Amino acid sequence: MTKVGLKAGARKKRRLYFLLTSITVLGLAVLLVLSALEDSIRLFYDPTEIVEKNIGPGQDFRLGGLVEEESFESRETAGILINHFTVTDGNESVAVTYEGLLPDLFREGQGIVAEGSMNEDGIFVASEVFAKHDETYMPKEVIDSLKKRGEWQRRTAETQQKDNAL
Amino acid sequence: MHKFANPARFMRLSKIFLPWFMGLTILLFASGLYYAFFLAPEDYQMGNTYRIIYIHVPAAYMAQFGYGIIAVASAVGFIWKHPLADQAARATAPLGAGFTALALLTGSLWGKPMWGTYWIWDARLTSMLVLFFIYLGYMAVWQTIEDRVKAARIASIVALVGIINVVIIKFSVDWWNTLHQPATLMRLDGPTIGGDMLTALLLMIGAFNMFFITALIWRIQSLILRRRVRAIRMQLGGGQG
Amino acid sequence: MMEEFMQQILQSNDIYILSSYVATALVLVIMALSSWRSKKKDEKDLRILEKQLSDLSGKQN
Repeated sequence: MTKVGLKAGARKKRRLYFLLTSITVLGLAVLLVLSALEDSIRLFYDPTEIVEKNIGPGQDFRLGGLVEEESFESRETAGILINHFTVTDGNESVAVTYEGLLPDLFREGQGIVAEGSMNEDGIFVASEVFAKHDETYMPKEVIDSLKKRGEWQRRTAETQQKDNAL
Repeated sequence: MHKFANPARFMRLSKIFLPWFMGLTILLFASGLYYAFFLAPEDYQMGNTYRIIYIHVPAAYMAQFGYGIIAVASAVGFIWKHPLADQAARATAPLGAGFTALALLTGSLWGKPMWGTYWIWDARLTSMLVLFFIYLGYMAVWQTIEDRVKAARIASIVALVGIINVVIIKFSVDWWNTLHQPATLMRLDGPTIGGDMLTALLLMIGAFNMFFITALIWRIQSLILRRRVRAIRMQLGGGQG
Repeated sequence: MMEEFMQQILQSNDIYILSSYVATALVLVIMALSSWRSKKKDEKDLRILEKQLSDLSGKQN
């Protein structure tokens, strides 16, 4: 009787160890694969990487960074409204043009991701622009009063730099 | 352990607690929605549209909470071969899948006006979609394999392997650059949301959680009843034949 | 009045808020109802079978 109980207990223990080792081994394997695939899993490149990689014209990729302060301009060329702005990561910056409607969150100082390719003049021609939102939620009134007192600083830049560091 | 998982005891206890969970669900939903729409102020960037957070984040939490239950129950079922644990894991899956679908749907409806797109293949969104498919796969195992013991064993292996994806979901926004923002609540340096906005979010998470537990109790009760039905059917069949 | 209200919803982002909350309500109701109804059905099945069982054992005695 006790012998049978002992056997069942040993089997349970064996199943437990089997489970723990296989999950650990599998987890490590997946981590290795994911880190090998890092380049294709990441959504965008920042301006510094784009300058370093020297991506040629016509090659599609995604560019991410902050819309530089006082760089945004909407110009009408031949009856079509084209948006011009610069995307920066604090180190390098890339000039972008985009024809189309910008998302609600698009503004200067905001993180964005743009899809498109470089043209001959080294300007990024975006086919699509997405606005990135940071993880901070705050009441409008609080920001208004902070701004009035001149104490408001955007957290976006800080967050973006943290993103880039990772 | 086995005492807790005794079906008769579960039926007795769940009958006592069920009204409390139902009451809490209603109470938390009422107060949570009141906070979300009347007390929580507009966000400084997103205006009113950020209020989708009050269903999007709770749904995403429940998607992973459900997976946590399935994983624990599957481990118990796999190691101790406890049939009720396997059944509890099975009962959780449709709810988890439902909440995953909700998180994807509400996120999509939030992404369109704010980001400028319903969908993007970034690490967070993709791993969440993978979670949905893991739920479907897990349910398919139970559907297609007729031998219950075999189905339970294969389903538990699927569930336990899938834990890796839950880890990836959590850290996807830290490991890779994504369009989705990093965590707001579960951060080492504390939440980046406060005041009535935070209260509303916590109340809604509580409401979703109580709802989940209420529905889960019904589903487990149903499975226990079904076992009894099967047992009596066999008894009757044996008596007549 | 109603038209004006609808116009306002369609023009702003309110349409996204509204549809996400409506979708959530729908999914929650479906999940709750399907769980509750399957429990009710099993309860009914069990009652019928228990009655059959007691009838049968009554006959045998």
